Amino acid sequence: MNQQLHDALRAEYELAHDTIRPDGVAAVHTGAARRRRRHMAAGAAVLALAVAGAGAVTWRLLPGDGPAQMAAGPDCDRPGHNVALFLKSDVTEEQKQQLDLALRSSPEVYCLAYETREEAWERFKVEFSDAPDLVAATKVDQLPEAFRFRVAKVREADVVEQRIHGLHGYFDYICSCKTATPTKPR
Amino acid sequence: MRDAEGFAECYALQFRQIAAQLSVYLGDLDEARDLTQEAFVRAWQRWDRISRYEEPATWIRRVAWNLATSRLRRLRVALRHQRGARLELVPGPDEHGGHGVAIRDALAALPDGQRRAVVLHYLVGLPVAEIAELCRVREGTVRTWLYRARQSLAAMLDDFREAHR
Repeated sequence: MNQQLHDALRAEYELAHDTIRPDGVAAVHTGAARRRRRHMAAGAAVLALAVAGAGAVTWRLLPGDGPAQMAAGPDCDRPGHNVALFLKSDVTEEQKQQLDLALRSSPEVYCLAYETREEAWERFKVEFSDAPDLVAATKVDQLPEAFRFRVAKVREADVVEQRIHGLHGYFDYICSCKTATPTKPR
Repeated sequence: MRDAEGFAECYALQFRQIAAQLSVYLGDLDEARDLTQEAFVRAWQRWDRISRYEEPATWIRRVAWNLATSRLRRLRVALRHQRGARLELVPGPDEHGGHGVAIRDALAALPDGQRRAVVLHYLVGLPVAEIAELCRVREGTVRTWLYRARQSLAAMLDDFREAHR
């Protein structure tokens, strides 16, 4: 029965797959832009742009909104750029320790903090509190763990990236200096 | 900057797949296409973040399915006023009762939860735990859905074969 069911569903799927004509990616962009204009017209411009445009970097807009350790960490007020190192879902403790060690022993790195899934989730919920179905559709284990820290200069972000290059357990290295325009006067 | 190229690639690779899966659940191709498009719009609005997930497509599929479920809930309320009415089905290519029409009718006759569980489990390939999480029910409930759905589908498909012998 299971095989028969699987085959029957598969046949239905193939038929739909061959018949569907996607609206196209351009329609996504116009749809999103139209919605953004509506938000702005509604007077919610700042929030909508922070959510729609800045995504993962939104927290930088909100001073004092970082994880607890980060607020407590030394030198966090020093001018510089925020960097996030996103860890793979199957990262091992050992890999984490090696990344942690590499970052800790880097003179360029300051205000280093480790962000758990739960902390990422709390941040996510606050940021997307205007989109409850988005929050409902997201699981805590879909959000990556991360190391977050700061560097003074763009060049130093590259130096640190080079240093951890051979290590494993992370899937992305993002510097705010490269993904978004500065949001606060430095 | 959101990575428009990466997004376009994800759209090209995943759109049909997500929409076709949804279409089997909904029994409505146009509806499935619209909901999937909407899910991609939402993904693009948060692409900075979502593109960094290991599988952005999983997120998009979840949003599309959640949209479909709330859409179906509204539709069911509307249908309560016209008993016997069924979801409009995609016209099949074979009017003489091929396999496709049989499974389509059988699926349409299932309660919503059972149909969702069957498609997610046997077509999309999600494990029971993940379906439970997606539908916000206990795993035992999903197992019951799958069991009942298999019983009804087996009976309906047998009847069908009997009738066309």
